[in-house]
Amino acid sequence: MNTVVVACAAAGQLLPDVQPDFEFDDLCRTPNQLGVLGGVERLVLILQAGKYDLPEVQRAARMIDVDPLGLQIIEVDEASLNGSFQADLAGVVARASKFEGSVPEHAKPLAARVMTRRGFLRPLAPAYVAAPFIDPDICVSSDGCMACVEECPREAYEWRSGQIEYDMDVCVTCGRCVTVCPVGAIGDPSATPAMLEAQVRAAVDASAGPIGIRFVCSSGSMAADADWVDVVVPCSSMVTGTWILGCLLLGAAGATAVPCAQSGCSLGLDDRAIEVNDLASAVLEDVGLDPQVVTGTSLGEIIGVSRVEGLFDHDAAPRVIEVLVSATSGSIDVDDPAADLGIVEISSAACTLCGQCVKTCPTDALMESFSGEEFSITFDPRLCVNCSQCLRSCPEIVNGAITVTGSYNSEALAGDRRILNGGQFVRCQVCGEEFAPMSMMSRISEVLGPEFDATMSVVGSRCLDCRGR
Amino acid sequence: MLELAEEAQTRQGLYRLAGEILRPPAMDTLVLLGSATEIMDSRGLERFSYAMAWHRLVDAITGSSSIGALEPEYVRLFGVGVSGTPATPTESFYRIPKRKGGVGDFVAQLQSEYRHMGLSLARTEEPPDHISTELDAMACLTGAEAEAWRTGIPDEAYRSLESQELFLDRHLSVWVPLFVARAKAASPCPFYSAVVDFLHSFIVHEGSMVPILRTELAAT
Repeated sequence: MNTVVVACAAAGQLLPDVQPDFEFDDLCRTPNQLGVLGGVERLVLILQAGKYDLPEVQRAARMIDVDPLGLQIIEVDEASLNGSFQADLAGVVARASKFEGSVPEHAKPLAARVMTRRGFLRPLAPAYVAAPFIDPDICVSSDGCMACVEECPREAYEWRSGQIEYDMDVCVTCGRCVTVCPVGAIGDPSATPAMLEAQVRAAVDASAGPIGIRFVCSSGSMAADADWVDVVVPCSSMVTGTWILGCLLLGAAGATAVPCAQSGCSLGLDDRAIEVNDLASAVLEDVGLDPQVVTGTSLGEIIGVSRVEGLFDHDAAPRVIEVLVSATSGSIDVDDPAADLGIVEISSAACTLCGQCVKTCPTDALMESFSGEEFSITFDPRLCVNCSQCLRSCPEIVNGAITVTGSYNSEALAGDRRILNGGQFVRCQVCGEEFAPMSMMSRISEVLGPEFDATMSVVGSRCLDCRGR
Repeated sequence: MLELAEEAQTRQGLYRLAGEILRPPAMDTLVLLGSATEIMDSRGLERFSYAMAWHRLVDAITGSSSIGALEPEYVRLFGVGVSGTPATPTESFYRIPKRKGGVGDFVAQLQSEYRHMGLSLARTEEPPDHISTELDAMACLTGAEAEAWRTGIPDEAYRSLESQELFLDRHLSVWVPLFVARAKAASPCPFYSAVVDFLHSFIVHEGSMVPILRTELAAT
């Protein structure tokens, strides 16, 4: 992929150790100069903070057929003189190279008109940000999954008859839906797992000494710091514990999600970033590493550079825990609601084996199994992402039939799929087919009471097809 | 307000162009499209997210030398009434479940919507729910908006934007992505590939931009 680095001369002067491919005088104010570049596929711009107009820069990118949603802008100012940007630049270039393009639905326009001083409306060139988009071929909302609906802080998603409806006007493009989607159906083209992983890997590789990775909101500006590289994400509330730990496995000497308020974001979703830092801290403590390296204040020892790919993918958590455990010879047992792995337990006293949890489970962590006349619900902790969709679907939830605990547990992850609950099916007295779990029939009978014994004698002994016979 | 009129007129031009290009190709189609793209190209479309799809469309139009090659491809992809057409260009095909009937009711309802918006259908070969007819309807609404700005009647422009938003929400935004997906799946020639890509980008953009335009106008 042809990725070109272009600097505004004034910004370039602030970064003497960076050699851009092209440099233009006053590029910040006259981005149309980019029009002379040909054959550019991906673009990294080094511009002066606060001196450029994003819609005009995006417009200039389109002139040379560069998708603005993949455009990477490094903002620099006087403070930049304090830092070394070699690692930053290497990371951003790697990230730009991994951009895979966008679809029309990804472009969210922000504003279109401005009021003049005389009270007239004037058309504006709109600025566009990347909006999440659901891949309908991957989404499992038809099975009842509503993870994005439940997690969205602005109620931009709605579940209607098995379909997710998305309201771009309401969406603040924080990206939380992207990382909570259990099956990775929601994508943000500006911050895909592959782009973020490439950025971290390249920044670590290009750095002369140990560096830390800071996930910062897109509304914040890049801080100059020789020891830390900023990875811009739509909102730090989308960062997962796996991403923090993944950075350490890629060779970073520290990693942290910077809470929104600290990085200048007004969305007010600070808690999530703090929670994942605490989660990562607890994990490091378990394996005997310095938990301070996820606070953003100090660097620690480098665990080792992992060549395992896909550490930022939606299903990477078990891999990350596995690599971390093998790198440290420790074990991990951290229960935390912010974990992107979970442990499901079923109470055999309350569960009726109705199977709703299995039907709803988006990742197949919960499955059905038949062995002779025995029916069981099985669980694979490697597939559970702590989305809690099973809780919502369970009709016996008030009786405590099912619980989910957010948990990074290396012992559980090393184990096989196990049976959570089992029982026998009732066999139809007419056709001989098994048609319902015995425990479910008992529960229905219990709920209906003795006055419905006659009904239950039919319902509980004949399948649907044979009830009328 | 002239700038706002020009902007609405640009959108009107794009709707007209898209509508024209999705009609069966005629002898003078390429010449007309060539002139239209030249005019539209001077309107600074790089401001908008569909600009790259627009560039590809312009390349496709200027790179097509003969109408002869387009005709069979049009029939293969969109030929109405041809059994097994990969991408039927009528809305009812996508909105009315197969074997359920009701196409007549759907089209009658659409005609009633046209009338409600102050539009009457000319006698054309395309049915009321054909993509070109619906794009023409949007061209009329954006034309009315442009006229309202030109004559200094913002309330009229607002009403037109309301109608545009409603029509996009109820119709084009719903079925154009489905239509485009089917057309793309049929491996169209580069010309029609560029056409449906542009249509998709433009309609998605309109679906998100028109509510912003209306809201901003309401706030004033």
